[in-house]
Amino acid sequence: MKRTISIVKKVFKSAAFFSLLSTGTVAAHGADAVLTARTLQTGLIADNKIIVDGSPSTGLIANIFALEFLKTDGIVVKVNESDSERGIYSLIYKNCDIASTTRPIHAHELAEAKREGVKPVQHIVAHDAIIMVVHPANSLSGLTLDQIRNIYAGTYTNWSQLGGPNRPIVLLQRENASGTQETFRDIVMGKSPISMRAITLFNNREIIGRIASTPNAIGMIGRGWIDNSVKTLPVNGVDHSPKTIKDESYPLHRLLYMYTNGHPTGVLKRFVDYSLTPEGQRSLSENGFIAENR
Amino acid sequence: MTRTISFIKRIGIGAALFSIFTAGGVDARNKAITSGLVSDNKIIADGASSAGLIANLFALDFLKSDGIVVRVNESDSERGLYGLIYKNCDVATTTRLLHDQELAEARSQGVNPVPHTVALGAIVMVVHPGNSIKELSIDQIRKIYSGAYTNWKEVGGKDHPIVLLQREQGSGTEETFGDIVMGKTPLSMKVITLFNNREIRSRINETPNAIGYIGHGWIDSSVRPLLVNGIDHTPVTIKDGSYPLSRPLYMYTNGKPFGVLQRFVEYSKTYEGQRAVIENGYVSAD
Repeated sequence: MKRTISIVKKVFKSAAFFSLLSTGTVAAHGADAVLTARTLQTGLIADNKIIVDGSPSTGLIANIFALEFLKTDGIVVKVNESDSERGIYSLIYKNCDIASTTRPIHAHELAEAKREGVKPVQHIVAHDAIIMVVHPANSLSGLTLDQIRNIYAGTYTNWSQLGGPNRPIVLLQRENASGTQETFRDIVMGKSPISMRAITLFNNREIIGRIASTPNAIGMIGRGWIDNSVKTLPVNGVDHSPKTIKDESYPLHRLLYMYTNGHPTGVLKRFVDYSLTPEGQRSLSENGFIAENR
Repeated sequence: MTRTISFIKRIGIGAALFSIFTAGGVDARNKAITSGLVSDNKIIADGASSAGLIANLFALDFLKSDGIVVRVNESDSERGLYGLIYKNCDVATTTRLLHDQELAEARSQGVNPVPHTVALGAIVMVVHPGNSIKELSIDQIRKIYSGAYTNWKEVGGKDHPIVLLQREQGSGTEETFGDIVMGKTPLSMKVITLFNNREIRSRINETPNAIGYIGHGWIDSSVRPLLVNGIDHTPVTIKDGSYPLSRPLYMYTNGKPFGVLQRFVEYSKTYEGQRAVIENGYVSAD
């Protein structure tokens, strides 16, 4: 709760800052020369903005860092939540400053980048891991990826089909725009649609609260949110730990990347490197991500 | 711009009130019993984002008057309707009427879906005032945005490359454009994403070769609107359905709503509700 509110407050503050900043458009116009000079120095596409396009999970990290850069540099961070591929092509066609992705660039994308004179440079900003959780009284001691997919597709509807008691499974999921939901869909579901009976909740806290009060429920949360009111399930026999997440043996794990055109300079460099600073790493872990030590 | 900022402020105030309100959960429980809502002190909306946006526009007023928090999941019309059928939401936000098989499933679950038209979502294709093109067909627009046409001369204009502008994912405008114009055809990877109606309008105004789309309420003389399939966007052609880039937005409830839920789905008929709808580029349904 505290964390959610602090994020809401952060967003609100940044909105207030943003409105201050943009009411000063006329003044800024007078200072056009200054802005242009800065743009030339930073190599950003738009005046005082960092434009991010791509996967929402990584886009969320850009949003988490946004307030700091508004305060220090007067830079507004705009994030389009599309997907890794669109983000990369947006970088290739010089329509964004950062492609936010959940995978490395493909060879054919790199070839297109070369044709366009663009040199995508990769920056790993965090590890993302999601954890399957059930009620503490649930007797299950783990699930396979295949079992989780069949549960959420609606193929398995009763815990007895998985060796549990004869009780219906209550499915919890996150709202569509959340990075947790995106990670879950990409790694677990693939092209299988999620059952129409899944109940949508709007943050990690709500999932935890509903799991703790619903003996038959299953849900997924970001790793930073686990407490003893829920039971976590190993996946394919692997439990989540900083070690299994960093060595990538934990299955519900992936790396989050930002790509820039060439080695970034100035504010853009500080932005993609922010996850390496103590402040950036604190924001990441407060929001359930695991910082990468480069 | 003012509109965008006032909206951002509204959300901010809403967030602040929300945090105060969630501290007082006990009173809310009694209220839920009389209001028939799925969850204590919340109206949960699920479905198409363009109709969901309207739920968000109304949210602050209901937080102030009733202490009700509005939560919106942006999925799609079908998922919203099944959310209603399985009693996982209070309002299904849709851009179409219920299908027969959905109605049958609702009946088998003892749910009676009732539609409420809350607004019309109309978008307008815009180009630079110096562009010689006056109109496009839906088919031409689709081919422009898929990248099949890349030069204005392919649609009868001058020999200049076409610059494509779109809105960000999650915007109602983008959803309406995607559903009506693109269907399953993927957008060109060369499209430039901008983040609100104002940005599209000003980019069009300074880019002679650009095309974009904005909400009906955002048209001004800095851009030129195009006829679509020969039909101009007017309140008449939008309301009678002849203007192609328009569609009604619905909220479905289980049974005839009462109490706060009734006031919520009928808010678009009030003076305040209509103003919020129109200020954000939608067309009032009444």
